[in-house]
Amino acid sequence: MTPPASAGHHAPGAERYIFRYLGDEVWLVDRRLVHTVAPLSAPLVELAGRSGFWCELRDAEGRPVHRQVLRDPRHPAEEVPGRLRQVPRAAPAGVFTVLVPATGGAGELALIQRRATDEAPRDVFTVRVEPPPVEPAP
Amino acid sequence: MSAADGTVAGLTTVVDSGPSSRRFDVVVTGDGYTSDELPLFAERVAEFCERFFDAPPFDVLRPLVNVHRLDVASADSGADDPLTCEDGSRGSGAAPRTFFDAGFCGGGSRRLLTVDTAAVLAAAGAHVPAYDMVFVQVNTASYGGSGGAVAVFSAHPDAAEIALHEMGHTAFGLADEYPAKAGCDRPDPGHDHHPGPEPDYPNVTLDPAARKWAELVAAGTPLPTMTNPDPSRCDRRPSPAPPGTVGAFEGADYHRGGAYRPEYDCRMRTLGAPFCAVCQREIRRQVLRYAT
Repeated sequence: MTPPASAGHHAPGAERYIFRYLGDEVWLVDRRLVHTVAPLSAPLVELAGRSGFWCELRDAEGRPVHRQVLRDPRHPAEEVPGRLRQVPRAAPAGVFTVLVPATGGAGELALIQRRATDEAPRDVFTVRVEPPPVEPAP
Repeated sequence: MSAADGTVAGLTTVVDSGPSSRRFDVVVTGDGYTSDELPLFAERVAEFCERFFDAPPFDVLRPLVNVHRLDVASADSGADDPLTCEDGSRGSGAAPRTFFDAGFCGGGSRRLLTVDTAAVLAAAGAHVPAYDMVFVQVNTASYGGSGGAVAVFSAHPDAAEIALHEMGHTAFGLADEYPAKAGCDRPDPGHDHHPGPEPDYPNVTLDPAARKWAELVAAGTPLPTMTNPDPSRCDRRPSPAPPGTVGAFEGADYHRGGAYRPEYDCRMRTLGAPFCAVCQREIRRQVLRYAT
């Protein structure tokens, strides 16, 4: 994990996760602490009756503690400007980031998707969120 | 991108509203500007700032927004312009060496102007770790742009609108409000009726009663406000309600029927239109987190 991006007197408020993707496959390439305010959480309601793409932080028991609604960051189609329309990407690949509150404890971060054709929301990717290392007393 | 293609020349905070940790931080970087052309880039960023802060709700959110100009000098000027493109158009064949590899025809359409997103995010993160939105302004007068993790736009006078629309997706999770995936002038099978379930985006709904944004619907506004009598085609009729009316207008989220948008028009539906009241509410909600 990259050291804090900016040192300061206060604990960083957010963590930026940097992902790469190839088609539907996603993997984490970096995490870094950032001194800023993370985007607000969407309501932590049941996702069962909804479609979309979400980034969710969960506590050690798997309960959601923060959720953001995202447009599918794997960017399966390009938006053609002018009279707006979508064209599928032949080989979607690239990078995206999410900014979430820095957590003090263990848990996980999940990317979740439910397309209209899916029966239920499913985790596209999860990564364990470890508590920050405890620095030894001087 | 390679070191021979250019270099980061410097960072200037052109709108400084406060500490980066407590502000919505916008980074505007450029591609296809040689070192001699960086003053031109600075002028264009200033113009973009005017456009940005003229667009409600950013006119009132300005005290919470920083804008950082990240100067990047490329070896050559302009953007790749392939001779041929899948859409049948023809370009100049130019292939300048630029830092972020900007080029047209990114997805087979001449207007799709794309960059090396990973390189852009790396440069932005190295200089403004707390960035909230990154724009890339490419030094070409031809109309073009694209979205995704960063918003790309050319120097064409109308292209800044692309950037503002794409920011709606990238920074605020807004859905597209237009009714046809492939466009209203092209075959678009499978998009007559939204299949559900309810899209979890703030500005589209399958609910004709528009409970998602009910607080913004004036008493007496009919719900739904406008329905599409023939969802096999786009509804091109004028609005039955005065401009600015919030209600439920059928045709949104790439479907001509069964999905509703809050107003007749919005920047998430048509480039050049202002953000509708519901989109503005979501933008305000997110940016105002820096005010507490």
